[in-house]
Amino acid sequence: MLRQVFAESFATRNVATVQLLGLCPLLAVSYSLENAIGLASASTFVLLASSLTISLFRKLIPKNIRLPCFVLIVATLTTVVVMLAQAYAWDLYIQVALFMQIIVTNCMILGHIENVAARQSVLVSMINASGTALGFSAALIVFGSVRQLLSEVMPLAAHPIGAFLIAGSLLALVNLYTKKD
Amino acid sequence: MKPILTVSLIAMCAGALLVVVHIVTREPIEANRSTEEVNRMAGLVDTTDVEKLCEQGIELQTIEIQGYGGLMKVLVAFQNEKVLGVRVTRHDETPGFDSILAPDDWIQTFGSKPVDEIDAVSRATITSRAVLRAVEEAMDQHREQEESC
Repeated sequence: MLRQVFAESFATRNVATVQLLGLCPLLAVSYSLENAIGLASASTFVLLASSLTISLFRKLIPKNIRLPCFVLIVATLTTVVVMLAQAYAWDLYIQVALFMQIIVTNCMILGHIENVAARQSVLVSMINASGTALGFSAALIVFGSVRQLLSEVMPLAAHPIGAFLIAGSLLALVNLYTKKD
Repeated sequence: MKPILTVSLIAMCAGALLVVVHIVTREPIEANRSTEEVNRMAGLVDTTDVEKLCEQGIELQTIEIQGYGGLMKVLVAFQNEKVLGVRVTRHDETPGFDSILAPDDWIQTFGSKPVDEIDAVSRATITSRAVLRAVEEAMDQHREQEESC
């Protein structure tokens, strides 16, 4: 059952290619693999930490104020990540500063929290979070690699237009491969 | 009552966590920013030592001004009573606008044109206007200052 949870969150319900969440940072930093990995790590940290916290205390957060509480926790963790990056990874931070600061607005985090972490046990939540984070990172890396390689041959790929075209093509490929009907 | 207590408790814990992380990271961040300061002087001056600059005929004014996200440190260099150039060595502006303040963008137009011919940047009004105000303040200070070289 836990394997299924992981498989679902990583593959069949991949946050970037299936649920289409968190695409803004994905498209924005995928011009460089190094930056993509950096941002993916930061997002992963925030996702795992907030998933753990919220799933631990899910029974204590009243339903009618759950969203402000979620955002409070995720925003705090985002600030923590930003401070850590400024202190220990300055060069990376300079490249992706804007997108690190808005990790809190990444829909994949809030989506995961609302749908899984707030309802399931810590174990299930963490496995789902890991699958989601890995799935997002995988999408980011694949996308980033394709974009970086293509921009050697096709300068358009380095610009936002190219990003959208590549994203659409990759999503179409994924659908082609996975849809049975 | 329970919602109020819960949110307050979460907020307090969040605050505590932020304070701890802030204290731990304060020094490394300061070190990084100082290195960045030196880098950002590039192309204008290579030292802040007053005597060395005097030998080159350059006078430096350092202005601290409130920008959009916090205090900005603006270096204005004068040579022969004219503005030689401007650099923003420390700031907390929105990350995307650092390109305007980087040594190879809008900030470079200072020195090549008279200051009152330099327009603010439309998408970064507060940031660019703060720099312009800082340069005007530097010019006032420079005028009132006695000869330092």
